[in-house]
Amino acid sequence: MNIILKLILIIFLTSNIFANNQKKERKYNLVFGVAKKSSVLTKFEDANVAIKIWLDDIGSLYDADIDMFFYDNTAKLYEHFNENKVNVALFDLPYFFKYRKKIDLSKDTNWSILIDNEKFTHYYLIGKNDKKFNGFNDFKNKILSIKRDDEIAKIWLNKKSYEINKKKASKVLKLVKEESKDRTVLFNVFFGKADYAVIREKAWETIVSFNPAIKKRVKIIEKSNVKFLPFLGVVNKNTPSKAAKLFFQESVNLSKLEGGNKVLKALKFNRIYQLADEDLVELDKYYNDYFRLEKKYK
Amino acid sequence: MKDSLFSKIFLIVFISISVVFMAFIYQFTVLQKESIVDSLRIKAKSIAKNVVISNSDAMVVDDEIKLLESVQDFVNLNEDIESFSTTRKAGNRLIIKKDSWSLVEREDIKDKIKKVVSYKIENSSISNKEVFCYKYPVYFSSVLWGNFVVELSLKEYNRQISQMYQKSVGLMFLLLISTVFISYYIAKMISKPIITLNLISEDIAKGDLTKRADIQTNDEIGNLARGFNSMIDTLESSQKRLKNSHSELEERVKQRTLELKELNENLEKTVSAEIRKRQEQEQILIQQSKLASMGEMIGNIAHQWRQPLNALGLVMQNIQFSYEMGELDDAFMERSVKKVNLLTNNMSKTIDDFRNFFKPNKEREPFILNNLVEKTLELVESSFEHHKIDIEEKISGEIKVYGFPNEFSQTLLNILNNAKDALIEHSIEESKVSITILEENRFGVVIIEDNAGGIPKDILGKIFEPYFTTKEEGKGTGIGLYMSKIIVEQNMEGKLIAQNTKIGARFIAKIPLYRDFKR
Repeated sequence: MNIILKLILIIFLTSNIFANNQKKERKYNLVFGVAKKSSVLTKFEDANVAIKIWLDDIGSLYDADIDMFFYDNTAKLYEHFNENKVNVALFDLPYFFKYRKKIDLSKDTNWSILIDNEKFTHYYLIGKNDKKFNGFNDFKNKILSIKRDDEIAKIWLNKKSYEINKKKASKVLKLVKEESKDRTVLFNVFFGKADYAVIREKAWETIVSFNPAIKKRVKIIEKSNVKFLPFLGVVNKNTPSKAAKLFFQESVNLSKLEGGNKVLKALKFNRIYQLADEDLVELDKYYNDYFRLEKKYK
Repeated sequence: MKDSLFSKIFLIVFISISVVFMAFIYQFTVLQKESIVDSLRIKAKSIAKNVVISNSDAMVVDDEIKLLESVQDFVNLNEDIESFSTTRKAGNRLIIKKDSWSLVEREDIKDKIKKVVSYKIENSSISNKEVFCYKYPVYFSSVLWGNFVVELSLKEYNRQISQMYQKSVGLMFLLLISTVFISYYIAKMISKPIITLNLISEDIAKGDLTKRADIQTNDEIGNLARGFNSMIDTLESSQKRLKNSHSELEERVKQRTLELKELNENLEKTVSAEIRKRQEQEQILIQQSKLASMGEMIGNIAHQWRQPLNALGLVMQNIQFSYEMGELDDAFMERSVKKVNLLTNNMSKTIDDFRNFFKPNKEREPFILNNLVEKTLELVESSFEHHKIDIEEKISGEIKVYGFPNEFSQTLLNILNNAKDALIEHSIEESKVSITILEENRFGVVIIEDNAGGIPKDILGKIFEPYFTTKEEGKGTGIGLYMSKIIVEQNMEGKLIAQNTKIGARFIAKIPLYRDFKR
């Protein structure tokens, strides 16, 4: 009797294990490639297990298996993208605009994300609330704080420096303090550890909302006049059009999924949206100017 | 029910257990509360220590940014932290909340840095609500560098307190129900035997001795019940014995009553027989008395007749002598016959007088007392003269009384004959009987006195009793004075008394005056 019971138990358990291990075959297979410099998704790099679960959850929306790979070398990402090993690539903006013509050959659709319900991002140059601190033309022997992996901020800083000081900012400033967090960038100025800082507009607003008294000590010196994108994603032209279509269609439902919701919260973005080539005209010009100035004053 | 033993015991037990339970619940609540506060203290201390450990360098080198960011992370990661304030001894104060932070310049800090740990639940000026405030001094190498003030949310505390109160209320409710049941059981356990005893005692009071207390405990109440049952047994057996005795007594009473009834009936018969016997005896006595009276009457007649008989004899002798002498002529004979006729008429009259005298009156009638006394004296006169007894009469006028004259005359005769007998018995020289007639108040009074020495004192009170006599057997009946008293006092509403004088006896007979009856 006991043997029969044990046998039934074993069959039951193994059948459950087998059932759990069986992954449902999905229609599409999407591979995401993320350039670490693109900054936004890089924070997931160390949370592989979690991201896989979330992506699987998200993939269920498109009836697709989603894999994500992080690339230290953006060129390598491009290579894989070009070779159709990566269906969706997230490039950092400088690389994208630098190699846009190449990338355009392999891409089908541009997309980006809405952060704080805004498509574009602006940057502030902030400094101590003192007459002594007047902006980019007053960088000499000053300390500037900036977020370490915010390439856009660095490009805006350097482009302005190129334009005004004819030098890369780091060469004019006494010290460029790179910080990992926006708030540290701002706090450096607030607590007098830095004279200036470049900070994302939304980050400024958020941090100031926590302590409006910051404005008494820190002032906004200049705002970027360019509409920066947080990152740029491109869909490989060889990706099944239906899958790509579904990707954008179902992205609005992302928040309804547990995994999708967690991704949105972690990245603090609202949704994915498609970008037309026209949307990139201004940025394209800006980056090209930057590359030119960089080349000129390097 | 209100004053019943059960309700009293129930109340006492219920209140006692409830008080104990309430105290227990109160203590439990206090300890739980302390425990919850302690858990908050431990949590706050842990947070403060962690912040100290991760920010010791920041505190020392005055790195406010690191301190701020670190504390912000702590605050954001830990849901329980409402605010976290850091104050460096020589620096500013950072007040960090989840949605804000602020900096208080050193010169604006008014309160001193506390050197010891303290904590309490208070209204926070930072969070504007009640929080658990934990003040933690920051020491490095025994040097005070500043302090942290951790304000923890009371959400969890309140939840636990609420949960604790809910549990306490639930427990209290459970204990209350248990207490009710326990109290009911104990009250029933204690009071049931007593109530049983009480009910049985009530039954016993009503007379039902068949009931017994069925209490099998080995305590005092069990002993009491057994004693009670034993008492009822005794009482029942006593009652049975009493009933038996009662029945026996009733039987005996019945028997006695029957006996008494029989006895009564016999007694009645006996009494009737005795009365009849007595009446017969009385009749005999009366007859004897009559015979005695007749004897006396005959004696008196004989005394009365003695003189005329002698005279008659003389007349006869004279006739004989005259005849012999030849002197018997018609005139002599006529004279002698007249004399004889006169004498025989007198003798005949004497007989009539006695017959009239002894003839009882049928109705009361008025009579002259003086005349009656005179007539009575005439009857005894010869006898008295024969025995040389002087009769002295003291009569004061004519007194008319109302009664039975013959019966009264017989009374006087009885008294006079007794006086005569006494005088003869005592051989009194110059024996004398005085009769006084007078009127006194509403009575005519006849007082008869003699000088025979009087009636002995020891028998003075008995002389009017029936059958009492001092005379020799055959001479007296003991009826005379008894009959006289009856005649005077009962038949004639008069009074007859006897008393002694210095020289003899005195009898006073009082007869109602006729004038009073006429009215």
